[in-house]
Amino acid sequence: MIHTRDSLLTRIADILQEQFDVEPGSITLDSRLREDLDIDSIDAVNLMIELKSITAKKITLENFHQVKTIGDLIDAILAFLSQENAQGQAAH
Amino acid sequence: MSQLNRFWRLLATAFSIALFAAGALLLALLLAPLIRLLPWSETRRRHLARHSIQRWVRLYVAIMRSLGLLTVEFDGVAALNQPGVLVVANHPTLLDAVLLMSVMPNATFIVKAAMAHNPITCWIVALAGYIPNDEVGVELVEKAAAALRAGETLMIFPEGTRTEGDELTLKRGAANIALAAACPLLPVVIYCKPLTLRKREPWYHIPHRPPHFILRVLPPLELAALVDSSQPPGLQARALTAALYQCLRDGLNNCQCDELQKQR
Repeated sequence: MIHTRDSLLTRIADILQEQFDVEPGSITLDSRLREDLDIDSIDAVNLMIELKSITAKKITLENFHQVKTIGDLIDAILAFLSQENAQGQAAH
Repeated sequence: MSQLNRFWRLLATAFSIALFAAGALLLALLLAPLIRLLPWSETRRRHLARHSIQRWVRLYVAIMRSLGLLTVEFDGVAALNQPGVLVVANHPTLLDAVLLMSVMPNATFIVKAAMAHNPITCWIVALAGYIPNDEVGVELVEKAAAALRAGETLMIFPEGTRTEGDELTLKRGAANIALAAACPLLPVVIYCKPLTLRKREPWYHIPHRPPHFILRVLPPLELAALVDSSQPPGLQARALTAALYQCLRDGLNNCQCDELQKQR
């Protein structure tokens, strides 16, 4: 499944609302996870688990501590997925 | 209160700070190594260390009271020694941990990470088996939950630091720990009037009269009654934190009302 930035943003917004009671109106690409959306480090762990539902893969983001905004998160997910795809293709 | 009394309290405060530092040095550099030398199990040594620290802290509080630096009322503190509960308190002043420690003989305190890195207090933290609240949330929660399941009494300040202004800003660490351990929260309200030794307040700001502290233990918050376990963990932690906030807020308001009543 191809993920676009917009589709990811929508899915992430859904997860944030369902799992963490975040106001959907407050979620933009520039929203900072910690300061603006009140997502703490324990929420982040649960968020990663929920993101598995988007990607059908367990996501491991090595540089998650560098993810500050929703935009950063989307970039990191896209980077992770393209890396997985590349490895998948290389294996064939 | 007279200027003379205030000047006396300034001197007594300076003395108390020096005494505290001296006590910490003695505990860290003399008592800790001595206890470590004993051929006992770690549990027994830890018990002795905590007992010694608590004895000293109790004496320290008695000294401050006798110097006329503060008055303190303890209400229901016998309940603080239950195993397997997470004691939570608001954190208005620098003296909160000292006052709590004086009535909790065998508690595992969750301490500021800085205490574990300070070259003097690190020995006390290690020997007493306190848990530093390093930034990595999940590991702290797991460590604390394991201690609670093993029957220890834990203590954490949910605000993570001293209160700034009038509002209580609770972080969700305490709630996450209680949820992971499936244990009750035991709230303690710390009321202080006039407020002193607040965040960013220098020690030499002596209040116009000696502060009166009330440490009041409230009924435990049971998870089953407050949290819907079918909800996502993030929502459970938020609901529990909100309940704790309300409980502490109400407790503080009640202390204030009680004090006003007394003055009539």
